[in-house]
Amino acid sequence: MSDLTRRSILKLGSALIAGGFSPLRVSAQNATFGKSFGVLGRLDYSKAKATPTICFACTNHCGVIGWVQDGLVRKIDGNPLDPNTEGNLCSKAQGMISYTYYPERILYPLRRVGKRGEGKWKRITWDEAYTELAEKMRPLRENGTPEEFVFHYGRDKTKGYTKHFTNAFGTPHRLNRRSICSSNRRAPLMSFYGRDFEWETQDLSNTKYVINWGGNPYEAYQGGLFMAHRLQNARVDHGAKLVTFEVRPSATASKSDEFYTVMPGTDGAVAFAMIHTILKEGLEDKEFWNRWANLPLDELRKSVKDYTPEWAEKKSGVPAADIKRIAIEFAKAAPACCTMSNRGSAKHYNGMQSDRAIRTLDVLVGNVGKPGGYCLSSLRGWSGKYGQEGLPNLKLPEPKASDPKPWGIGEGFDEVAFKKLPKKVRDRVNNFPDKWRKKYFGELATPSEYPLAWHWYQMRVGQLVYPYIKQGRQKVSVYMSFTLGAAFGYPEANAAREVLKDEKLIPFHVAIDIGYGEQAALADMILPEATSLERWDYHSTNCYGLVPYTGIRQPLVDPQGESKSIQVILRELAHKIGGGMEKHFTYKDDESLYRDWYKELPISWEEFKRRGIWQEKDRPKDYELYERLLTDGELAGTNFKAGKLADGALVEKDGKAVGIIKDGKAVRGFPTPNRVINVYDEIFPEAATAVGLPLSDGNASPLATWHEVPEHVDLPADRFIFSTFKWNVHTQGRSGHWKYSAEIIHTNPIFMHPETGKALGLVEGDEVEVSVYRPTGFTYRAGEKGVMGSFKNHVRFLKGMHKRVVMCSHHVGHFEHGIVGESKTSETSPAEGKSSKLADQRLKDGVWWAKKRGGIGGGVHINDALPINPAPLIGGQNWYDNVCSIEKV
Amino acid sequence: MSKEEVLPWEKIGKEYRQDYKRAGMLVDLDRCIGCHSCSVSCKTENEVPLGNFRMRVRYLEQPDNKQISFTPLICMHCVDAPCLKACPSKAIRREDDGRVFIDENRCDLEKECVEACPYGAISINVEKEVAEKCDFCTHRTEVGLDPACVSNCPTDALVFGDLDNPESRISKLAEKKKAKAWKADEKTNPSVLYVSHEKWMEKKANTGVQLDSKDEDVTYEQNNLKK
Amino acid sequence: MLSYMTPESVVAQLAASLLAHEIDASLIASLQQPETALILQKIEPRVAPLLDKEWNSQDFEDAAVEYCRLFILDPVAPARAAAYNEKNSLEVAGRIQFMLDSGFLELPERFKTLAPDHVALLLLVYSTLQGDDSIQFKSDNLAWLPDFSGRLETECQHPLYLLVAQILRVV
Repeated sequence: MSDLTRRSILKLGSALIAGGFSPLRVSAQNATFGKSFGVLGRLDYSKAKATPTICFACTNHCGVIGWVQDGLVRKIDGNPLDPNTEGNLCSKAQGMISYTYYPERILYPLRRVGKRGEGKWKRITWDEAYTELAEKMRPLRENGTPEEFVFHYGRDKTKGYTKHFTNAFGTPHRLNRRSICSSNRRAPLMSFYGRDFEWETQDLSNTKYVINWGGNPYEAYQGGLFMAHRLQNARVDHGAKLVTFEVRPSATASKSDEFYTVMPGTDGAVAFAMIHTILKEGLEDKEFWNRWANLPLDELRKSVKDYTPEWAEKKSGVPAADIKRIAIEFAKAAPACCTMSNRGSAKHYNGMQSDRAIRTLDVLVGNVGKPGGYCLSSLRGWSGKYGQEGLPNLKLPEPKASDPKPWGIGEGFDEVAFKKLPKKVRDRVNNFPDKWRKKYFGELATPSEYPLAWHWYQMRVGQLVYPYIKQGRQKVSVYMSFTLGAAFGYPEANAAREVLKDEKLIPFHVAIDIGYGEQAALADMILPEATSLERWDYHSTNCYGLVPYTGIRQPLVDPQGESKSIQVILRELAHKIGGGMEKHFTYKDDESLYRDWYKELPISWEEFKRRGIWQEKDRPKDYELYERLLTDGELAGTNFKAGKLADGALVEKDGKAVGIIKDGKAVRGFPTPNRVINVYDEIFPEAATAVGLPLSDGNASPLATWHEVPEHVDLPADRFIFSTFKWNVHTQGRSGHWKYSAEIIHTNPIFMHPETGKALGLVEGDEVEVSVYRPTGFTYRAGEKGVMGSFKNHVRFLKGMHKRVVMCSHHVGHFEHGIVGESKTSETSPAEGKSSKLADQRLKDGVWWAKKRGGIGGGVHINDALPINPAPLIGGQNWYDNVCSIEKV
Repeated sequence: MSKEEVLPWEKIGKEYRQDYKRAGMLVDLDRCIGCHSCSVSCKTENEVPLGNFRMRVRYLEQPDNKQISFTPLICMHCVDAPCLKACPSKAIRREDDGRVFIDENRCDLEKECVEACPYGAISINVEKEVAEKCDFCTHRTEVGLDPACVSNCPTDALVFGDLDNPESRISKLAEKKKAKAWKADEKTNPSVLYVSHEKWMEKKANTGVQLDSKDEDVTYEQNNLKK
Repeated sequence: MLSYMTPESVVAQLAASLLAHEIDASLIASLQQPETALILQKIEPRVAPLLDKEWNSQDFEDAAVEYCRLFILDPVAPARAAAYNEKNSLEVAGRIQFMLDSGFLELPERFKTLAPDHVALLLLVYSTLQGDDSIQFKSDNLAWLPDFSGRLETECQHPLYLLVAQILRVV
């Protein structure tokens, strides 16, 4: 420091004092400051406070313990009271600390200054934000066009709070991304069992045999962590066998006792050959099938006559002898055996039917609901009423707002909006049978081309939201995105970004999020959300211990900066909008709201917060729920009179079946309309007829069938299937900026079999260009041909890859999300103060894997190149059907 | 559900167990699913900067099979620890329970320990200008908690305990499952033992963090890791 | 004189205020006090035009947009310890959070929603300390300040933030 500067500073200080500048008040305790403050900071478990809460890092929602020291959450451990995790947790839980304290987190409401997407912003106050937003939203409600407010979420675990808001506002547009994720997988469960139960809940602790089609619970999978430790215990300690059909050596495949690479889209063929074998060997459970399936066994036998193991070998590449042997081993292990499937089987053009074939296997061997078998939780109600059994009646305590009125003919029909739809769409809706027309809420919420996406309950077709807005199928005035990464993660994400940039199509976009990702970058206003370590949520899901439970997400620390929980944001906004909306939001603070939400819990609020988890003690496990006798209470008001109803007759109440007569007794049966398992379901041809899908298309079949994915038929030798997968340390597109996760996985090389590489003249590390073709089936934009898009990356060989498949993960390659997410280095170097060695590993200089530091970089974004490809009827994105060609760069 | 019931995390800090003769860890590769919970938990627990690793989980393609093997690797807390002998400033010491500990205040960053360790378990923390490695989470074990990696392993693949006590869970498991030393040829007598580890893994698995070989070279160079 | 009212302390507090929030009317008024303005212009001549004029709403907006670009959204000069001092960044934040929770400081309103490892909070605490405490605090918590000021100087496009970078060099 030069003397001049030194003197200037002294003079400046004196001048400031003379001018009365003093931003500071210091308390008397200043005097006590000393070295004691200097030694604080290290994590010290004798001082840190442990509080249970629920993790939010992925879709599992595990009970965890957060350790708070000096007002900060420093470490996450498992909560041993959680009956799902049994105290376990995974790497992603620590990610909550990363995303709460990373230095680029959004901490203030922001308003766009320059053009949309230009990246110029300024801070505004919450009041300014609410005022502007309310002024834009209020007229929609007052003028009778509340549907022009569109709420679109990526992850919403408020269990009804956001819906309470959209209902109170009056819009049916609470859109989600079900189709991106799981609708092809949920539909077969809805059809078979009447509920999706957030999946089946296999009794893995007691199982002896598991056949897994493309599920990867050791890495991803909703429920994966709950399954992984149970299945590993069963395997290692009790000798259970795990057989996996996959296209790559996933962690699950790698820990499986048998692992077969299978041609994508042929999982159903293998399942059918197993059904064929079991029937041929006479290993089926006739008694169970005849009691509970809605199809005579002979009909099934006829339908699988040609699905021989030899046929399946030709289609799938899995040796016929192995298919036979596995089928026999599986059936012999019954009922302590179960299937498992997930996107690997489901995210295909034929995925819904393939999963129906797999689901049929469990019914066939009679393992449904049995110890060690394919169990179903009581989640989502079993005997008529909604809500998990084994839990008291827990519901959002706010005055209920009525659901928005359907756009069906008659009640609340928005004629103006409807008339603007293309004639083809209007005709389709007008010709729908009443059961669909009465659930129709316009094309964004209930796309008429995909009636099974909303017939059972609203699964939505997220990837069509932007194309439909572009086509003018729905006028949007205010678009609110909430923890959504569509601009990064949806197929044809570039098309989504184009719509998001267009101020005519979307006049106002407000994004609610914790980080500045690709979605928020295209907003007009950003509202900072409190993280999962800073807010409340009600939690309940299916329990792999088969005894229902509930847990509370509670704040361990106050929200950082000016961030607020989604509940507070929506509540305050509702009050600002007014016009009666405020009457539905009566609570002043979140804790009171959640305390009342849990009012019926048999323990005190304080005790619940202390434990974090509540479960009814000594409750029997949810085995064979369908055989349980209806209670007197459940029978009251029904048509049941002892001895009067024949076997198989329905027990009905107010015209709705609540049980079925078996052996003269009224039992629950399954929560389907006919109380049995619908192996056969007319809903598929009905829906096909309604939307004009030819009945020859496999998706239209009332009985499960296998049909080849259209674009895979006669696949030329130089074409490959391009597939994607999830890594264990990442969670969708939300984790690219979690530093410890990104440090482990920041690239997405293109994996292929060494022989595939050799045939293409490649060696490991070569750069290739992957060009992805448009789909050819009966789907969105059917008929368009050619390449959708391309991307380049280097190749990596693995012997566990299927030879016709190339694959990379979809988590990385962010172009927003800061230093870690984008794997950036600083654009310019600091003028001084950078001692090269010491600064090398500092975050602001970029991560060690950044290209500018000689690293491999942050991977490649692939979603622009992947076509929107919704499965017929249900609309689930067929992520794993894509055909591609590969060229060396 | 009585209020008097003390919950597991409420006991922490009250149960000291410092009576181990030989603190050790068992790594059961049959149980490990490669989830990285141990390594990320370790980094969070100890605020290990990017580029440094006290614990790594390596993905190794099996030579004659299409599956991947997962191998968590940490400091082996050897009974005959080469690092301890190599350190010229006597910054590495052995604790009463046998764990090998780097005293950051004494470390002069001579890097002899990094060279001496056959397991690549020591790295240089350039920010703090010290060598750093696993210490079995002393701050956790002294209040009755397992090391972070052990506590946070979802499949019970990691077990911490006293290898000198034949009645301990770790000793019984080590015997039952025939646990072996990693790189037994180095004759360092490690206190971390592996179940189902195979010889071929030792050659492939010194360091690196993930499956992408193109990344691994960078990892070695930039992070002062040893090949 | 109270330790936090020494000339050095007050200069640190000025820097803290400029970094804690956007430039507002009261802050610019303080800077435009004739004697103060004169000295500031000596330290960083490029601020002269801004100190000579009456600020209109566009001036405030320009400064606010620059503040957001530098420090808030996808910040080019992040103002938090965690961006520079990865190891122990939570320790720094925890130390400050602890001090604040213990009522050590009565924070000005606009400092209350800063992240605990924000440079403005650290500077404010630092400005209240003397002697060994001050030296110890700086080495424990503010070792990254030169990196930050260097970064700020390179990245900023607004004279007042150049001024902040200059001041930080001698704080």
